[in-house]
Amino acid sequence: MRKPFSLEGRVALITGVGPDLGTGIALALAEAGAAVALAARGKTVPDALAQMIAGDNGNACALECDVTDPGQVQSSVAAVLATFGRLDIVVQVASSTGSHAQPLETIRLEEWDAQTQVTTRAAFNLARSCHAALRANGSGRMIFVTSAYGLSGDGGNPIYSACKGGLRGFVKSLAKEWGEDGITVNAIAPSSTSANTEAYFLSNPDAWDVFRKAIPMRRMGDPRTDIGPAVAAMASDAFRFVSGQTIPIDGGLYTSL
Amino acid sequence: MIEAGDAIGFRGAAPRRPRSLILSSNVDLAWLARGLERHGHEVEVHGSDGEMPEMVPVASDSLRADDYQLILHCHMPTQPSPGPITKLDHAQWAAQCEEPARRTLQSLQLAQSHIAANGAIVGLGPAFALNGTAGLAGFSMALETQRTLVKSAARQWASRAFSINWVALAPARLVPGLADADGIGRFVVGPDLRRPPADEPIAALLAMLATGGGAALNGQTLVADGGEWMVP
Repeated sequence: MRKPFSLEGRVALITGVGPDLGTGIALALAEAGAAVALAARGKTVPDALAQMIAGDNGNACALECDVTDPGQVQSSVAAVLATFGRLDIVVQVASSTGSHAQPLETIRLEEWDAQTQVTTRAAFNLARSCHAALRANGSGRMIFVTSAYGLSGDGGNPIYSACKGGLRGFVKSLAKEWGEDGITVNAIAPSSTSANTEAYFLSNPDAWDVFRKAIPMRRMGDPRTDIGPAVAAMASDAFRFVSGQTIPIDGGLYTSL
Repeated sequence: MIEAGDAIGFRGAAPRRPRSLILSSNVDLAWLARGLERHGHEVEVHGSDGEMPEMVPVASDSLRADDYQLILHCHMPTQPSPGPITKLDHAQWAAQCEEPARRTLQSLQLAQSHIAANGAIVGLGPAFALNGTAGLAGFSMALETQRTLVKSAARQWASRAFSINWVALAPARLVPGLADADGIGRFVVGPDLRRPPADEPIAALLAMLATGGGAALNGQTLVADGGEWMVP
């Protein structure tokens, strides 16, 4: 009998594999038994991570992929199929690194376009390129990383929150479109630590104090031990009948869904 | 159809009636302009029903006032039509998803400098994106991007003396060509008790938002579809 949370025999493609959230998700999927294709614009992190997973008797490959380029996304999917023979799970972690706090009235269209390309246009590129492979096995999983700010809006960073909110609309409709193909489409809204957030809060202790108090569990999630395993569970058979949802993985930060 | 720059009932004379501004693209809101007029508003429309150039062609100095009590923004895709995401090319994706969202950003930027004290900025969109609809993933993404941007604007400008909200209408109101698309109408539970609102109550709701009666609402999504969806 197959264990409901096992990913043995499954193949996952993860985009935007950096040192924090992408790594945490990749390690959790690999630990659950999936072969993982690790994609990012630069291969430094994916290469090192693939070696680490292979050294731990896992199965991994690194791919260079700019998710804003439809050709590269298509090539990456083809490379996964050529390497592992199938594709079952796709996780879009890739998000704009240019995101920052700013007044909405000063946002320039060029800046808006640059950031939306990495989140919303990339989601389109990925969905278009992955659909056939995900459908082939009858148990496809598509998971997007959104944010609590995509649920609540964000007075500080309007572009980021708008992109993340947009993903939720995409997820709901795509889940309805792909349900007959046996593909579930969901989003996570993690509260996840990263080098950047840790540095920010270290230099802004008052901001951390306010944010910490907003989280019932009084901490942000660890990508490796808090966020990754939850994504692995969502990718497993245990979540085979959950689709179109945004799952906050945030210690209780956002509870208004 | 209302043409870009048309003014409906705008007289600009004292004593002042409430002024409304409609910023729209690819949607016919003449019914709403007439409804607001019946509520005593002077309505100025900048929009089109499908001939929009790339950017909202509304320069700040082309507006006739800088103190509108109500500013509505509503940006739909060019010729939205349901279809599998895998069949969309990038130009279609841009039209379905990216252009409407950009125009909302531009409209909010314009609106915040032309809204009167205690006025209301209201985004309008079809309600289906709150629940998702197969074949409209790009359009759904646009609408949820727009709606989240409205929430962020409401948070960012919360200390200023106006409100910003989103009103979701029955799809037939804004995208009649999609009214019969599968799954777009309502969440079917039990007998059909749908009660699609006429023009009048929708105009009344929007006019109310621009009065003291609407001041407590900020960053909210009001589903004014007569109960088709009942979300969240």
